[in-house]
Amino acid sequence: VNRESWWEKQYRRVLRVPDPKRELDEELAFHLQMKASDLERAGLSPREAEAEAKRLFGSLDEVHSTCSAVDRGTVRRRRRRTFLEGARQDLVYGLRSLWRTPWLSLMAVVALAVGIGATTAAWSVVNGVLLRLPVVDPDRVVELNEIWEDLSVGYNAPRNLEDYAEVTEVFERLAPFYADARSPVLLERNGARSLVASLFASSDLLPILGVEPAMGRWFAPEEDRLGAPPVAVVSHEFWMTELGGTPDVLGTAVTLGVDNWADLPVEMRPADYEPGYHYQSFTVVGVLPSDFELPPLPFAGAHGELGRSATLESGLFVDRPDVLLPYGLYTFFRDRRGFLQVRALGLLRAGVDAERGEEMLNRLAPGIEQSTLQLTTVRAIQREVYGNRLTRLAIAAVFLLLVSCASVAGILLARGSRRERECAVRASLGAGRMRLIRQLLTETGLIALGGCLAGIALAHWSTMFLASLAPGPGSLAEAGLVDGTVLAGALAVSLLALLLAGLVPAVHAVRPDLYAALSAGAATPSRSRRRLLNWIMVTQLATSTSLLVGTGLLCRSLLQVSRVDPGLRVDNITTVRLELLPPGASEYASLAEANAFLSDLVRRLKELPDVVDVQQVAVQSRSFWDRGYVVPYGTTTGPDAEPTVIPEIFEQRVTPGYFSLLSIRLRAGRTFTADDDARGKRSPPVLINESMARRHWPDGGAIGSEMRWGGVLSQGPFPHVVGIVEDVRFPSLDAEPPNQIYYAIQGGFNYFPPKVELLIETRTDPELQLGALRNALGGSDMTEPRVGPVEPLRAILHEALAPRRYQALLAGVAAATTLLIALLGLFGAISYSVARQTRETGMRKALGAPTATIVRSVVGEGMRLTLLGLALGMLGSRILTRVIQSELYGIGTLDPATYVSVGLTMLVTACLASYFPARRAGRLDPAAALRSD
Amino acid sequence: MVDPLIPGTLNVLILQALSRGAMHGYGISKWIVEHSRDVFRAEEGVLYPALHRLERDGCLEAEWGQNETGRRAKFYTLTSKGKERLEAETERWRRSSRALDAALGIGEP
Repeated sequence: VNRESWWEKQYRRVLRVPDPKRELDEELAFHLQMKASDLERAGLSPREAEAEAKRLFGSLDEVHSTCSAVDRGTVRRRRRRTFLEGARQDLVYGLRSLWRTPWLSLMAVVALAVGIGATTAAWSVVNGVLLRLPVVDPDRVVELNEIWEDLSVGYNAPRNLEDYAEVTEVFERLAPFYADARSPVLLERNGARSLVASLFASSDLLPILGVEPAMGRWFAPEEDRLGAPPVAVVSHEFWMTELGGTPDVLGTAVTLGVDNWADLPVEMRPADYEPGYHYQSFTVVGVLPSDFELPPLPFAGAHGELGRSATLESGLFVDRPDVLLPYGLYTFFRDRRGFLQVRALGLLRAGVDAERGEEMLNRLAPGIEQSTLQLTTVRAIQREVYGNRLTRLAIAAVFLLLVSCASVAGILLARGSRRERECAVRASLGAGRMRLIRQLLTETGLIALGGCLAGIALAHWSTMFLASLAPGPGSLAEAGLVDGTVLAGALAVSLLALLLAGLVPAVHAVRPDLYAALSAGAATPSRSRRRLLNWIMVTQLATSTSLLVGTGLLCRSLLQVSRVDPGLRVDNITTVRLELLPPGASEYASLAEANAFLSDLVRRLKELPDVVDVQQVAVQSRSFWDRGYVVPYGTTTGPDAEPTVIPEIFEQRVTPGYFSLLSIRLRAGRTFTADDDARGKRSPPVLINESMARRHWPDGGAIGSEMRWGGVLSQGPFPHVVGIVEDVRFPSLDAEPPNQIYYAIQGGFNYFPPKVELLIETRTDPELQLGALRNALGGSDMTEPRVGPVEPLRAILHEALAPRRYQALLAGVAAATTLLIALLGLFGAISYSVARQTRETGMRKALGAPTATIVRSVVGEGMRLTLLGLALGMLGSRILTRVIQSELYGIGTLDPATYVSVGLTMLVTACLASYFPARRAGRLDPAAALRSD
Repeated sequence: MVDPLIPGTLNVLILQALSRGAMHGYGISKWIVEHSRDVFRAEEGVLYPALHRLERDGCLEAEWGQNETGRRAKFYTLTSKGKERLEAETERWRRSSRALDAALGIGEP
């Protein structure tokens, strides 16, 4: 029953635990022999003595079996104790041994942490954005856009959407929705009015997304039409913050102000309308889930990425609305086919894909002579918007993880080779083989533990950082959470690499030919082992070369970018943004009153002793440097000439002194005069930038051209170009300047809600004036008007370069770490080989070889490895640079300066790393060396 | 005249034997006979299981060494736990034996 199991037997064999049965036999035999010899001494014959001893002993078998049973317990106890004691020893010994090479250990931990952290962060963001969508069936949900032949920009005309919804061969449902950034919905509570993020949505929208309200219900189709009793669905956050978060919210009323003209037929609108609000009570019928958001839908016209990002950031589109109102309650120019402001999401009929649906729709939809309809799945849009950036991130992260695993493996192997002799000595002193392997693995485990903990912390921070870098609202910011699955994956990969890296030297170090290891000083170095070590060396040198090249290119790009002339003056200029609630919501009854307030404010600012000048930029998008709207124009040089189409032009409305304040130089023609004013004029003078002139009028002749705009319904006369100004590269110094057009305004608010950006020139550093400026802008009471951050241009520029600096810094840290590891490895490998050749070197010295020759030959060995690594690394960097190619600026991927300086750095540092062990070899005392083991 | 051991005394005798230093099993059995003035004799069938039990319980430690004639033998030594146990058992026996003496009306009046 109590037999030793197969496993126990193997365990005992490996650990060289003696067999208790055999020992018991021996012990009892010894007893019998001693007894017999005593009896012999007392006078018995040997045979009689032996027999008498056995007789006196009694049943040998019984004693044997009783003792065996007891011994089994002893073995178990001892095994448990040995294991625990061993583990404690391993831990203490492991810590002590790691502490002996603190830098090497620290570097292994750091390399591991960086690998795990960066990879997890990158993949968490990729996962959060690319692979997750707030839509149940992202391949069936499509965005619909009308592409007009004359390049009118926008989404869909409401009247047309009604027609498209009829094409039931394509759409199961089609949901129009609309957010008005110019006259947003206002919330009235206790007499105070405030803006709410709102969306007019069709009753089909939620079913298309596959979302159910968390409480209550979504709009019924009969609530989604003109004259229906007004109902609203609110976001979870709005319910919590504005409606008290109580469960009895359903059925309560909120007072919302909607711009008057939203539900007025166009012919009933005054020719010179100003938005005015009328307030109405809406019954809350539902609350959305807390994670509700619309899929990221940037501007999706016939335009490139530039247009998408500009519109994405312009706030024209609300992707996390707080209040949703039925789209059908208002007319939204429903009678017109040219008002392209309504977006639409459709659910494709099962079995119809986007491509086929698009083809069918263009064939079947009525009244689309002048436009083409475009269907894009939500997934495709998302991939297109974030795709490139995220793919690059993901590739770079995987690369980094591999490098970090290689680095850690290299460090462990180098440590392993140093430990080879130590292990051999311990093995010869009787340490079990498993015991040694366990010891080495404990050290690996300690490094792994440190690396993983640091890696998780790093992953957390980097994910938040990456998410904060992400453009636009919505899902990216939400993705600032470490993805558990991704983290587990990164940990698993790293730990596997570590285990392998830890096991190889462990098994090597405790291999049976102890003699070879112990007599390492003799001429029997294990060739395969040295070759392995050399290859690891070369790999590491190659990796650090590649990383250095990458870093070099990024640093050179940073330098090149920071040298770029932004085309405007950044010193002593500050921006500040003002925003008023629309008339009717604020204390200003009309735009005229708001403008009176503004001109008074500007006058007060100009009176400040340090202020030189104040200019205004009408804010249509987020900030003056965001360059306003993307507007397609057709241009002509003569009245009857066929227009040339320029699909993307950014327009900006500025006061005439804008150019002199920012020192933007005039290149041709004239600049604005003090009384130029585009407002209300059909053919105002405009300025364009140099790049646009060069691109579209390569032979000159831009001045005098007409800039046609406005889609099918618009007629001339049109704005005409009077001058060409210098390109402005601000704040992105490295972006190609887009086509830019400037209109002159006379200051004041132009759009709703009233927003304006002030550019303030000061005599001294604006950082010193921030307090005075803030005071002038309204003191402590910042509620009316709402004042945005007061930001000096220099700070904005500095901020804009931050991602580049961060990138260069990260690459630099990775490269420096790898280089240091590689150099330490080289140092170790050379020292190792010097130590092994002590006797040989001693012999050579004894035979008269000069010190210099010996030093040269040792350094030569290091240089051979370095040159090989350098060559491989330069080849490898061709792959790496392809990944970062799009991040480079002003230099090619084969930038000679970078390659030469990396080569020199590698050679010099590698030379030094081999010189120190070489010097030791050169200084050997031949007599002592020959005596050495 | 050799008596069998009084039950329960073997362990304390083994521990006492080893308190002077390492011994092998045969040595212990001889020691018991000699030091009990040839009164007690530890039978092998009892001695060896007892030794192994004490070893299992951590009172003894065993090590292989050589005896005076150069033969390999298993030597037992007391562990610190064994020493504690010896003290406790000795005290117990002292009390028991006084009590027995008193009950039987022998020894000091």
